[in-house]
Amino acid sequence: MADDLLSLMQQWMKQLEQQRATAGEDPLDAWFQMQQALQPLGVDQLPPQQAELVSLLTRQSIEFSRFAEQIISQLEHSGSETELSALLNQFHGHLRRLTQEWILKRWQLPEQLGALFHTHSFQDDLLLDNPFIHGLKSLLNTPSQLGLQHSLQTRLQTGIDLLIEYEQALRDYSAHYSAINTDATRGFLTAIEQADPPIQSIGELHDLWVEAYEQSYADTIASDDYRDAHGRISNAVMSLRRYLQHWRNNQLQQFGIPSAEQLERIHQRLHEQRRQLKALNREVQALRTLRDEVTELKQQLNRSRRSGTRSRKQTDTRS
Amino acid sequence: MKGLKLDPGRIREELARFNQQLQDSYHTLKAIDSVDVAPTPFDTVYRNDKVCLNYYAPASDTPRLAPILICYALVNRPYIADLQADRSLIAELTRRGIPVYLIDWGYPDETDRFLDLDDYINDYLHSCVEATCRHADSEQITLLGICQGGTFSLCYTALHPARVRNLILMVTPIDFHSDDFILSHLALKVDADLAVETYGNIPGELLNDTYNSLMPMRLGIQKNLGLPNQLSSQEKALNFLRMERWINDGPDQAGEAFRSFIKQFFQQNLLLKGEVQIGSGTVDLMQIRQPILNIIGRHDHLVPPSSSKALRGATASADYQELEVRAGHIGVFVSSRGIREVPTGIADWLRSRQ
Repeated sequence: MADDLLSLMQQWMKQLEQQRATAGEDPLDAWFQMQQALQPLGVDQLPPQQAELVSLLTRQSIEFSRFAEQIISQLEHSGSETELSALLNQFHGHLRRLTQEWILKRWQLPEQLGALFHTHSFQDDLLLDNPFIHGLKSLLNTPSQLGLQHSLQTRLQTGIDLLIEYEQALRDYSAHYSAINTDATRGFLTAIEQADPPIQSIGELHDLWVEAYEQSYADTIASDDYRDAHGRISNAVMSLRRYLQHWRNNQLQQFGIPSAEQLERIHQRLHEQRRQLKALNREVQALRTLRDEVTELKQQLNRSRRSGTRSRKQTDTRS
Repeated sequence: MKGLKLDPGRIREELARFNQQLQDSYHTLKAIDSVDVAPTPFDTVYRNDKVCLNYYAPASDTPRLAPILICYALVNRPYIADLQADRSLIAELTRRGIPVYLIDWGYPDETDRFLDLDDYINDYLHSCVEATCRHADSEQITLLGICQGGTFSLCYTALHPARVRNLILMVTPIDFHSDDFILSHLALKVDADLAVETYGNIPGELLNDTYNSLMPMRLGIQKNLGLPNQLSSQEKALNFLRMERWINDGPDQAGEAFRSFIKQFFQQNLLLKGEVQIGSGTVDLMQIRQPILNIIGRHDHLVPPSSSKALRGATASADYQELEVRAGHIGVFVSSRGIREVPTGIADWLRSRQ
């Protein structure tokens, strides 16, 4: 598979060379297709750490190439009179995708819920404004005599409340990122205006963006508002996870399978016993030391008694 | 557009160059079988549960100095102090005639969920100090604490001063509420009880994400775009991969110890107030009279210098010295500047206190 990967890369490089020579068909589409195809390839022949890097490089390259293609197309259509706003929109879109990917990865829902909302993008519409949640909400509003058992209804209601809190916390948190992006864009523009010598490569453009972004980011995360939003989203994700764990534990208990909570109690008891054992060992060690000291003292006493007896005998003999 | 001079031909070339480098990177990665770390030979001279005490013998052709016991943080693996032959704090110290002992806390698992700071400081650290004294046949040792391990070393010295002759701290948080301590600022509103209740042991991956989130673009986009350069030769790639291996090798944190550390240190900032509770003892920094060398990274974004420098005047030591290195949190040990300045600084400081 690794060789397939390499030959695909070489094929694309050749295509790029030809394209440069003939100025014909843009090979970037082919590159994207190839890059998409690369993701699952070749990884099993490399140690995990290297495989992870290849995958990362590939993803990065897709984004980089996509953006480069947009810029090239923009420049070719407008010549040197390219509109700043169009370029910036493209760049902004490119970086928004990267940031969004990062936020979602960082604050992802616990696995089970993540699968449920797999296709959702929180920036498009309300996360919880969908038929599943509507259906569930109306089910929960039905009086318990007609619908679910009261305990189940209560538990589901708690889950919905936690999901809503997560959604609001995530929106609040991502609003900070929108503000950071906007502020960073402003800083970025200023930096471009002041660039001397002028920016000539996408690499330089990225570096400039990173500088502007980190500055704006550093200012924002030092604020109390951001700190509160960060705490809120952290706690919301953990609460959801804990809720699902409780749910799972209850089910396990019903099947007679020990739950994580029960295992935890066992670990706690083991830990206490480990401590007691260590304390006992220390006491035994102290007693051993004491015993050795007593033995040593006894020996000293015996020695001095013997030497006392000897000197008495000598005195008696002399007298 | 002033300041921007993009040309389609040049961008195509840049793209081609980037992807050629990508291809080369792939070749480089393919040629690497394993990523070795911790090259300096050692003997494990003591064990207590998962904790190991490793001994690194000093070079035989140099005058011998008193032994150093390195207490590293719980949140990362201690082999950062011996990452590779030419970036090894430990190798540099042994080369200068110092016998080095290193505590390896191991990887806590679910059976360690209830380990707390009392276990770590009064049992593990204390027993390692005793074992070092026995092995080195010495009444006292120099305790060198790194990052969170520095905070532990301070607590230990305050609680058990008898065995500690000198105290060296590196990139150690002291004032957790200093203005630019962002990590601490963000930890203020995180519910530590909920975290432990939810995760049990706190996953190392989660903490790693938190550190990366302090500089998301620099540690994300910029680092990734620079990857083809980092992987352009096998030597460069190995340097990079060793560091990446270490970054992604953060052990899980024992739940109770984590809870207590977050609450007492990060959230309540009790260390400087003299109110940290470890087991049945209260940590009073004024019990510390030993000479102190405080090593600080000037560009440390994880533990800002303002936090470390708060130690000045907070103990009863009459012999307090700072060594500021122009490096970041990790650069203090592994950057060429750090490797040039820190071991020499430590050896000179120790020699003048023999």
